[in-house]
Amino acid sequence: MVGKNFKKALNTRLSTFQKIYLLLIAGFILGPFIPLVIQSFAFRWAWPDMLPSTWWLEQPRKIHDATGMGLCDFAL
Amino acid sequence: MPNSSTKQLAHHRRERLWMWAQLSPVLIILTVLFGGALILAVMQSLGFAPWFGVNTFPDFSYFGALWGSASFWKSLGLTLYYASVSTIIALIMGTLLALALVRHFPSKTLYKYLYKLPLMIPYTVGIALAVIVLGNGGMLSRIMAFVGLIGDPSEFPQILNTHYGWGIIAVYVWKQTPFVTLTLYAVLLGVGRETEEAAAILGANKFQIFFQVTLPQILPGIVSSTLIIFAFNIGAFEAPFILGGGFPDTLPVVAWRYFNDADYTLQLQGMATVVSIAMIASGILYSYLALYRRYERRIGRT
Repeated sequence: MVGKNFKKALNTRLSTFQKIYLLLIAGFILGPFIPLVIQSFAFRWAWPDMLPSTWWLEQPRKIHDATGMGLCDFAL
Repeated sequence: MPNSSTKQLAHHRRERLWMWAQLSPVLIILTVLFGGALILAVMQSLGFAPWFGVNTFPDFSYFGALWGSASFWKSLGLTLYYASVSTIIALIMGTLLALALVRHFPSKTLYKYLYKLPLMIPYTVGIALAVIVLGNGGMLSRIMAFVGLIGDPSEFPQILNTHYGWGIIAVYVWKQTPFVTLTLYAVLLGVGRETEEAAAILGANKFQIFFQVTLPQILPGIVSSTLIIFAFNIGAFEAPFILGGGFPDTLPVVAWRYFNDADYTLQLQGMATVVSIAMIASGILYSYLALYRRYERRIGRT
């Protein structure tokens, strides 16, 4: 019994609680950056969509399709 | 002819002089910049502001008006509530993380970089993240709509801009948990595992080892880190200003409103608020430190 307690008390490996806790902490720290990164590439992201309906990268093509104008036409 | 004790005394005196000479640059800066500003702030809060055409020094009416209003005590309550709740949560989360980080696991190196990330992010970015995640149109409300719990952003429970201060507490905890972890992890590495091993050999279980061996050893780290984060939280302005619930505001926001008022003579009232914050914060922190010192003496540690 003492031997078991001794082993448990001095275990250098993570307990199950600690494994779950580390995963939660990673989510808590990194989680808020996910919508920030998505938002920075989003042209239109209406509620309640989980992802933007229009990305900034596809916006020039959409403008070109609609107006026939390219990015160069907007240059001064 | 001087004897050896006189020589020793002279040597000791020279050493002390050299020590003060080395300390003098930082002492001069602290005395002039911090001490001077503090004296000026106290004098202004007591009615000394000839540049505004006000010189009623010493006049305690600014403190009287401030402390006599019910809203001041509500603001003080909110300030202490946000500061203490976030400090306690950050302490618990940081301690658990530090205890996990001293264990061996495959992605430990990655975690040692990852947990420090919020330390490098400014508070204003942390506030923006809180708005993006916890706001009514934020990521959490989108997820709740995705799983069918809500059908409209207004149905999402208000987390930001309430006097419960969940948003403020979330930002503080997000920013300060890594700070507590960093401090305690360093202490844990310095302490080593020998005393824990001795306790285990003597039959202590893991809870006894934590509360009776590890905790007293990491207590200096706990005290210093909580002291710093509590002092910051009590005087922090941006998070309560952006994420707070409006009137009654926290004391730093109240002070800012006085400073920003078109009637510039109200700046004296603002200065009385700032001096009140300083007095309350230093009173709490001094009591906390005194209690800790008393505990240290009681356990025979000086």
